[in-house]
Amino acid sequence: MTTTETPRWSSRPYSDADRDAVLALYTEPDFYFRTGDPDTRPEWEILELIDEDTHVLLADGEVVGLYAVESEANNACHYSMQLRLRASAPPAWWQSAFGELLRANTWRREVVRLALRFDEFDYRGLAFARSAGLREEGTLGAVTVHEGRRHGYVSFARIWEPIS
Amino acid sequence: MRLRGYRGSDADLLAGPWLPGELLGLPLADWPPLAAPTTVPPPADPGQELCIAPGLGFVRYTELDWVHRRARVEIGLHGVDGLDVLLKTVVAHGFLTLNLSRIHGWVTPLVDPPIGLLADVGFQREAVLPEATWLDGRPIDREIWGVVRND
Repeated sequence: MTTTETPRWSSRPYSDADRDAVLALYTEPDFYFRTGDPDTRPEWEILELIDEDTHVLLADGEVVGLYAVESEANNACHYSMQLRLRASAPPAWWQSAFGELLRANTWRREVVRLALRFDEFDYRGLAFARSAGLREEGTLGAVTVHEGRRHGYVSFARIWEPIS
Repeated sequence: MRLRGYRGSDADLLAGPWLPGELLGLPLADWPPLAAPTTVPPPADPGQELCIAPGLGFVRYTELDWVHRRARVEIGLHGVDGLDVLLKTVVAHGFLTLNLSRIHGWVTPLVDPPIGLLADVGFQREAVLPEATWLDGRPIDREIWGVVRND
Protein backbone atom coordinates (compact mmCIF):
# COMPACT_ATOMS: atom_id res chain seq x y z
CA MET A 1 0.00 0.00 0.00
CA THR A 2 1.30 3.47 -0.79
CA THR A 3 1.07 6.13 1.88
CA THR A 4 -1.57 8.05 -0.07
CA GLU A 5 -4.12 5.26 0.28
CA THR A 6 -6.41 5.35 3.26
CA PRO A 7 -5.47 2.64 5.74
CA ARG A 8 -7.70 0.56 7.93
CA TRP A 9 -7.76 2.38 11.23
CA SER A 10 -7.84 0.82 14.66
CA SER A 11 -6.88 1.94 18.14
CA ARG A 12 -6.42 0.72 21.65
CA PRO A 13 -5.58 2.28 25.01
CA TYR A 14 -1.82 2.61 25.52
CA SER A 15 -0.27 -0.29 27.39
CA ASP A 16 3.27 -1.40 28.20
CA ALA A 17 3.18 -3.58 25.08
CA ASP A 18 3.16 -0.36 23.01
CA ARG A 19 6.12 1.14 24.83
CA ASP A 20 8.81 0.62 22.18
CA ALA A 21 6.55 1.73 19.35
CA VAL A 22 5.59 4.89 21.21
CA LEU A 23 9.18 5.69 22.16
CA ALA A 24 10.03 5.32 18.48
CA LEU A 25 7.40 7.94 17.61
CA TYR A 26 9.10 10.35 19.98
CA THR A 27 12.41 10.04 18.14
CA GLU A 28 10.86 12.28 15.48
CA PRO A 29 11.70 15.94 16.17
CA ASP A 30 8.18 17.06 15.26
CA PHE A 31 6.09 14.44 17.00
CA TYR A 32 4.33 17.14 19.02
CA PHE A 33 2.09 15.10 21.27
CA ARG A 34 2.02 16.99 24.57
CA THR A 35 5.55 18.33 24.06
CA GLY A 36 7.27 20.74 21.73
CA ASP A 37 10.61 18.93 21.98
CA PRO A 38 9.80 15.25 21.51
CA ASP A 39 13.15 13.84 20.45
CA THR A 40 15.07 15.35 23.35
CA ARG A 41 12.68 14.07 26.05
CA PRO A 42 13.97 11.24 28.25
CA GLU A 43 12.09 7.99 28.50
CA TRP A 44 10.59 8.71 31.92
CA GLU A 45 9.17 12.02 30.76
CA ILE A 46 7.62 10.51 27.63
CA LEU A 47 5.93 7.84 29.72
CA GLU A 48 4.53 10.55 31.98
CA LEU A 49 3.01 12.26 28.94
CA ILE A 50 1.04 9.11 28.18
CA ASP A 51 -1.92 8.90 30.53
CA GLU A 52 -4.98 6.69 30.79
CA ASP A 53 -6.77 8.74 28.12
CA THR A 54 -4.05 8.12 25.57
CA HIS A 55 -4.72 5.67 22.76
CA VAL A 56 -2.33 4.38 20.15
CA LEU A 57 -3.59 4.79 16.62
CA LEU A 58 -2.87 1.99 14.20
CA ALA A 59 -2.94 2.05 10.42
CA ASP A 60 -3.35 -1.46 9.03
CA GLY A 61 -2.21 -2.77 12.38
CA GLU A 62 0.92 -0.63 12.72
CA VAL A 63 1.28 2.09 15.37
CA VAL A 64 1.43 5.41 13.53
CA GLY A 65 0.24 7.91 16.10
CA LEU A 66 -1.43 8.82 19.36
CA TYR A 67 -4.64 10.50 20.33
CA ALA A 68 -6.55 11.42 23.44
CA VAL A 69 -10.03 12.76 23.95
CA GLU A 70 -10.77 14.36 27.30
CA SER A 71 -13.92 15.80 28.79
CA GLU A 72 -13.62 19.52 29.48
CA ALA A 73 -16.96 19.95 31.24
CA ASN A 74 -19.17 17.23 32.63
CA ASN A 75 -22.50 18.72 31.64
CA ALA A 76 -21.63 20.76 28.55
CA CYS A 77 -20.74 18.02 26.05
CA HIS A 78 -17.42 19.81 25.64
CA TYR A 79 -14.39 17.70 24.77
CA SER A 80 -10.82 18.31 23.67
CA MET A 81 -8.79 16.14 21.36
CA GLN A 82 -5.06 15.71 20.93
CA LEU A 83 -3.99 13.94 17.76
CA ARG A 84 -0.58 13.25 16.31
CA LEU A 85 0.55 11.08 13.46
CA ARG A 86 4.13 10.23 12.60
CA ALA A 87 5.95 12.39 10.07
CA SER A 88 5.55 9.92 7.20
CA ALA A 89 1.76 10.00 7.42
CA PRO A 90 0.37 12.05 4.53
CA PRO A 91 -2.26 14.77 5.07
CA ALA A 92 -4.94 12.41 3.78
CA TRP A 93 -4.26 10.11 6.72
CA TRP A 94 -4.83 12.96 9.18
CA GLN A 95 -8.17 13.73 7.58
CA SER A 96 -9.13 10.09 7.45
CA ALA A 97 -8.15 9.38 11.05
CA PHE A 98 -9.84 12.52 12.31
CA GLY A 99 -13.03 11.58 10.48
CA GLU A 100 -13.03 8.14 12.07
CA LEU A 101 -12.32 9.63 15.49
CA LEU A 102 -15.22 12.04 15.11
CA ARG A 103 -17.49 9.19 14.15
CA ALA A 104 -16.32 7.08 17.10
CA ASN A 105 -16.61 9.86 19.63
CA THR A 106 -20.10 10.89 18.63
CA TRP A 107 -21.30 7.33 18.28
CA ARG A 108 -22.80 6.96 21.72
CA ARG A 109 -22.69 10.41 23.28
CA GLU A 110 -23.53 13.94 22.40
CA VAL A 111 -20.64 16.23 21.55
CA VAL A 112 -21.40 19.94 21.23
CA ARG A 113 -17.88 21.28 21.23
CA LEU A 114 -14.66 19.54 20.28
CA ALA A 115 -11.55 21.65 20.78
CA LEU A 116 -8.08 21.12 19.38
CA ARG A 117 -5.05 23.31 19.64
CA PHE A 118 -1.70 23.36 17.91
CA ASP A 119 1.48 25.27 18.57
CA GLU A 120 2.33 28.05 16.14
CA PHE A 121 5.45 26.19 15.07
CA ASP A 122 3.53 23.00 14.34
CA TYR A 123 3.09 23.40 10.61
CA ARG A 124 1.67 19.94 9.97
CA GLY A 125 -0.82 20.24 12.79
CA LEU A 126 -1.94 23.68 11.67
CA ALA A 127 -2.24 22.58 8.05
CA PHE A 128 -4.42 19.68 9.12
CA ALA A 129 -6.65 21.83 11.33
CA ARG A 130 -7.12 24.46 8.65
CA SER A 131 -7.99 21.90 6.02
CA ALA A 132 -10.37 19.98 8.29
CA GLY A 133 -13.03 22.65 8.37
CA LEU A 134 -12.43 23.51 12.00
CA ARG A 135 -13.23 26.95 13.29
CA GLU A 136 -10.02 28.88 14.03
CA GLU A 137 -10.70 30.69 17.27
CA GLY A 138 -7.49 32.58 17.92
CA THR A 139 -3.97 32.45 19.21
CA LEU A 140 -2.82 32.63 22.78
CA GLY A 141 0.55 34.26 22.34
CA ALA A 142 3.95 33.53 23.81
CA VAL A 143 3.05 30.44 25.82
CA THR A 144 6.08 28.37 24.94
CA VAL A 145 9.64 28.57 23.69
CA HIS A 146 10.76 26.47 20.77
CA GLU A 147 14.21 26.58 19.18
CA GLY A 148 15.01 29.89 20.80
CA ARG A 149 11.80 31.73 19.89
CA ARG A 150 8.57 32.30 21.71
CA HIS A 151 5.38 30.91 20.23
CA GLY A 152 1.72 30.78 21.04
CA TYR A 153 -0.83 28.10 20.39
CA VAL A 154 -3.74 28.30 18.01
CA SER A 155 -7.16 27.13 19.14
CA PHE A 156 -9.57 25.36 16.82
CA ALA A 157 -12.98 23.85 17.44
CA ARG A 158 -15.89 22.15 15.83
CA ILE A 159 -19.27 22.97 17.31
CA TRP A 160 -22.49 21.06 16.78
CA GLU A 161 -25.98 22.33 17.48
CA PRO A 162 -27.07 20.94 20.87
CA ILE A 163 -29.80 18.33 20.73
CA SER A 164 -31.51 19.77 23.79
CA MET B 1 24.59 17.23 15.75
CA ARG B 2 21.40 17.05 17.78
CA LEU B 3 21.09 15.78 21.33
CA ARG B 4 18.43 13.16 21.87
CA GLY B 5 16.41 12.00 24.84
CA TYR B 6 17.66 9.32 27.23
CA ARG B 7 16.44 5.74 26.97
CA GLY B 8 17.03 2.86 29.36
CA SER B 9 19.29 1.24 26.80
CA ASP B 10 21.73 4.16 27.18
CA ALA B 11 22.61 3.23 30.79
CA ASP B 12 26.18 2.16 29.91
CA LEU B 13 26.96 5.70 28.78
CA LEU B 14 26.40 7.09 32.29
CA ALA B 15 29.61 5.70 33.82
CA GLY B 16 33.21 6.31 32.88
CA PRO B 17 36.71 7.38 33.92
CA TRP B 18 36.21 11.12 34.20
CA LEU B 19 36.09 13.57 37.08
CA PRO B 20 32.67 13.91 38.73
CA GLY B 21 30.75 16.97 37.60
CA GLU B 22 33.34 18.04 35.04
CA LEU B 23 32.09 20.45 32.39
CA LEU B 24 34.00 18.56 29.75
CA GLY B 25 34.48 15.09 31.18
CA LEU B 26 37.01 13.31 29.02
CA PRO B 27 38.37 9.84 29.76
CA LEU B 28 41.48 10.06 32.00
CA ALA B 29 44.16 7.76 30.64
CA ASP B 30 45.73 6.99 34.02
CA TRP B 31 42.48 6.12 35.81
CA PRO B 32 43.37 3.21 38.17
CA PRO B 33 41.80 0.01 36.91
CA LEU B 34 40.36 -0.82 40.31
CA ALA B 35 38.98 2.66 40.99
CA ALA B 36 35.22 2.91 40.60
CA PRO B 37 34.14 4.85 37.55
CA THR B 38 32.26 8.09 37.94
CA THR B 39 28.54 7.64 37.44
CA VAL B 40 25.51 9.86 37.12
CA PRO B 41 21.97 8.66 37.78
CA PRO B 42 19.56 8.21 34.89
CA PRO B 43 17.13 11.10 34.50
CA ALA B 44 13.98 10.62 36.54
CA ASP B 45 12.58 14.04 37.39
CA PRO B 46 12.45 17.62 36.10
CA GLY B 47 15.40 18.64 38.25
CA GLN B 48 17.87 17.62 35.60
CA GLU B 49 17.96 17.37 31.85
CA LEU B 50 20.13 14.51 30.64
CA CYS B 51 20.54 14.03 26.92
CA ILE B 52 22.57 11.67 24.80
CA ALA B 53 25.17 12.82 22.31
CA PRO B 54 24.96 9.95 19.82
CA GLY B 55 28.18 7.98 19.69
CA LEU B 56 29.89 10.15 22.30
CA GLY B 57 28.28 10.12 25.73
CA PHE B 58 25.89 12.18 27.84
CA VAL B 59 25.24 15.84 28.48
CA ARG B 60 23.61 16.63 31.80
CA TYR B 61 22.10 19.99 32.72
CA THR B 62 21.75 19.85 36.47
CA GLU B 63 21.04 22.23 39.36
CA LEU B 64 18.39 23.54 37.00
CA ASP B 65 16.74 26.76 38.05
CA TRP B 66 13.79 27.11 35.70
CA VAL B 67 12.72 30.42 37.22
CA HIS B 68 16.02 32.19 36.68
CA ARG B 69 16.85 29.98 33.69
CA ARG B 70 20.30 28.74 34.60
CA ALA B 71 21.99 25.40 35.04
CA ARG B 72 25.28 23.71 35.65
CA VAL B 73 26.28 21.41 32.84
CA GLU B 74 28.44 18.33 32.97
CA ILE B 75 29.47 16.09 30.12
CA GLY B 76 30.73 12.53 30.18
CA LEU B 77 32.37 11.28 27.01
CA HIS B 78 33.68 7.94 25.90
CA GLY B 79 35.54 9.41 22.95
CA VAL B 80 37.16 12.70 22.01
CA ASP B 81 36.11 13.13 18.38
CA GLY B 82 33.98 16.09 17.39
CA LEU B 83 34.33 18.03 20.64
CA ASP B 84 33.95 21.38 18.91
CA VAL B 85 30.64 20.40 17.34
CA LEU B 86 29.46 18.85 20.59
CA LEU B 87 30.20 21.97 22.62
CA LYS B 88 28.35 24.16 20.13
CA THR B 89 25.42 21.78 20.40
CA VAL B 90 25.53 21.84 24.21
CA VAL B 91 25.34 25.64 24.28
CA ALA B 92 22.65 25.79 21.58
CA HIS B 93 20.55 23.14 23.33
CA GLY B 94 20.82 24.98 26.63
CA PHE B 95 19.90 28.34 25.19
CA LEU B 96 17.48 27.51 22.39
CA THR B 97 15.80 24.28 23.45
CA LEU B 98 15.83 24.69 27.23
CA ASN B 99 15.61 28.49 27.03
CA LEU B 100 18.32 28.97 29.66
CA SER B 101 20.09 32.28 29.96
CA ARG B 102 23.19 31.04 31.76
CA ILE B 103 25.18 27.81 31.72
CA HIS B 104 28.20 27.14 33.84
CA GLY B 105 30.40 24.19 34.71
CA TRP B 106 33.44 23.03 36.58
CA VAL B 107 36.79 22.78 34.84
CA THR B 108 39.82 21.11 36.40
CA PRO B 109 43.05 22.59 35.00
CA LEU B 110 45.19 19.70 36.27
CA VAL B 111 43.68 17.28 33.75
CA ASP B 112 44.54 19.67 30.92
CA PRO B 113 41.10 20.17 29.38
CA PRO B 114 40.86 21.79 25.93
CA ILE B 115 39.84 25.18 27.28
CA GLY B 116 40.34 26.74 23.86
CA LEU B 117 37.32 24.82 22.64
CA LEU B 118 35.30 26.09 25.60
CA ALA B 119 36.30 29.65 24.81
CA ASP B 120 35.40 29.16 21.15
CA VAL B 121 31.75 28.59 22.07
CA GLY B 122 31.60 31.49 24.51
CA PHE B 123 32.62 30.05 27.86
CA GLN B 124 34.75 32.31 30.06
CA ARG B 125 36.73 31.57 33.18
CA GLU B 126 34.83 33.17 36.06
CA ALA B 127 36.40 31.94 39.26
CA VAL B 128 38.98 29.66 40.80
CA LEU B 129 37.92 27.26 43.56
CA PRO B 130 41.00 26.31 45.60
CA GLU B 131 41.23 22.64 46.58
CA ALA B 132 37.74 22.00 45.31
CA THR B 133 38.11 18.30 44.54
CA TRP B 134 40.42 15.37 45.12
CA LEU B 135 42.51 13.55 42.56
CA ASP B 136 45.50 11.26 42.65
CA GLY B 137 46.00 11.51 46.39
CA ARG B 138 45.70 15.27 46.85
CA PRO B 139 43.26 18.18 46.73
CA ILE B 140 43.29 20.15 43.52
CA ASP B 141 41.83 23.39 42.26
CA ARG B 142 38.83 23.74 40.04
CA GLU B 143 37.53 26.64 38.01
CA ILE B 144 34.04 27.84 37.16
CA TRP B 145 33.52 28.54 33.48
CA GLY B 146 30.28 30.10 32.33
CA VAL B 147 28.51 31.40 29.26
CA VAL B 148 25.66 33.86 29.23
CA ARG B 149 23.10 34.10 26.47
CA ASN B 150 23.33 37.20 24.31
CA ASP B 151 26.74 37.91 25.78
